[in-house]
Amino acid sequence: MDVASKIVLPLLQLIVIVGLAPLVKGFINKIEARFQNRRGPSIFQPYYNLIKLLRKDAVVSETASWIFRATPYVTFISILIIALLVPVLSSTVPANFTGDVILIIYLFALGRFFLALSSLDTGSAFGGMGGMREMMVSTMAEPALMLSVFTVSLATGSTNLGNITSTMVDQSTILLNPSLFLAFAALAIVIIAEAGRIPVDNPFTHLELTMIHEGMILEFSGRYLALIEWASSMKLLLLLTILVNTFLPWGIASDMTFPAMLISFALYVVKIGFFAFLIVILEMSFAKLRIFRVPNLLGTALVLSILAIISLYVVG
Amino acid sequence: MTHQIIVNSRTIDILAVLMLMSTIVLIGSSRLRVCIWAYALRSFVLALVSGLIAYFSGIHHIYVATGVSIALKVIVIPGFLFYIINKIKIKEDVESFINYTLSLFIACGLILIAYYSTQSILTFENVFMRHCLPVSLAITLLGFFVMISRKKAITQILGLLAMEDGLFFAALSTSYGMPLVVELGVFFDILVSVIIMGIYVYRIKETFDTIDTDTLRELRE
Repeated sequence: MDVASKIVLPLLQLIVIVGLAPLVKGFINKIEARFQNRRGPSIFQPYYNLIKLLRKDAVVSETASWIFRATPYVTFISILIIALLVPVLSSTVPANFTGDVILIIYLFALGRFFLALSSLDTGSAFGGMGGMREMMVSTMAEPALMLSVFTVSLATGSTNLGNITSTMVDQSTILLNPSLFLAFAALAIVIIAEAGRIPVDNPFTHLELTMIHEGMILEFSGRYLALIEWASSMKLLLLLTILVNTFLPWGIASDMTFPAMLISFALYVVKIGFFAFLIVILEMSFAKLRIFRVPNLLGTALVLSILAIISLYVVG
Repeated sequence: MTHQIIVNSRTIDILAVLMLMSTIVLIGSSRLRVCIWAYALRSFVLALVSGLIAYFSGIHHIYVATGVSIALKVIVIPGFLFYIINKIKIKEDVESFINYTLSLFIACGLILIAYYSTQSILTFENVFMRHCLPVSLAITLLGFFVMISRKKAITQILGLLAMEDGLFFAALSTSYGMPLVVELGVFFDILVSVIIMGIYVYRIKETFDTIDTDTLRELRE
């Protein structure tokens, strides 16, 4: 890896993740509106929202401590670091030497931990409720996420996402493992829960009975809100990227040449678009679950991931 | 050639795991209709597996079993179950003695038992289709568990059907199916028993105004 690619690749990756994340959100909203016979907002609407929010003043509650002010930056930066740890266009990961998939799980947890803390910090009842719900969801989603990722690690012999991707590309028969199939299903459910999409959480609502993520961020405004919104859309894109590039990594660039990157980018957009479309179909066909039914869904994910790792261990 | 065999057996393994997943849906779902759809899906995958096994092994009589199982288990039996629940207009909820999350974890334990207990057999058997025997045992156990733990008569029928699927799959994957006459007999048995149980469900509903099998205890007085 020469010097140019050391600078170009991280920059490219940051631009893709940071730049495209609101677009994915806009795309999902637009398609969903179309399905409901509405015209829907422009797919660039999330960008307009971010610009509007960045211009506005932030109002901070008098009781809030430094945690409230630090949270947006902690969340945003932890997501940015994850963006450097995930293979996006090339199977080489920019921050290869610093960490692997375990660090990614903990960085997601760090952002969530600070959000939950700050939701309690302002003393607003809604905030605390959202924080508690988020923690309840994550206690079941996190083990399932870990176990399904570890299944992939065991099958490919590495916890580094870049190595996992290149092993998947080199040995295509690995993907035909039934244990990985189970892990894929578990990961798909977890992603829905982590990204706060419909069967678990409704991203559009501000009703007290239903909101989880929206409840936590209710007290944020101005640039703080912009950072958190941006981070949450990046989180969705990153989770989809992990799913796509570990299980369906075909066409990802293995070298830094321009045509390879271009093909890789085109395929990446197609794959992410496909999964975003699947999310839309899922959100169209299911109502949001009652909060006490959510452990049921996540329990299914947990059971699937336990089965994935045990069947890999027993049968191989 | 060996590569082709590995790909074939892995494909069947993945379909087997898909059947296991639809059985987990039967345990984890709280909606009756979802459970019946899950049964139809599992039967469809099972028919697909038997078709593939017939194709890979070149044993033609399995095709007959495939055709009959698509006609019966994917179309007739789910259709009949939907017909019953539409006719008796029951509440859509599945009621259970054990709550859903706990029963999911019990199911997980049963599947693990199936995997661990068949491991010693698998080391002597051929190395192909290694997921099939544990999955078929697991589906049988899960069907048994559903029959024990669920209250409604319809879910108990679904449990029985799951057990039958598991046994059929075990026979199919270990010895390329039973003789054709036996298989046809089993299919016919299943059809007749589902119809009889359906009529029973209808009668229970008529008599007790519910299909909760718990209320059958009232007969003692």
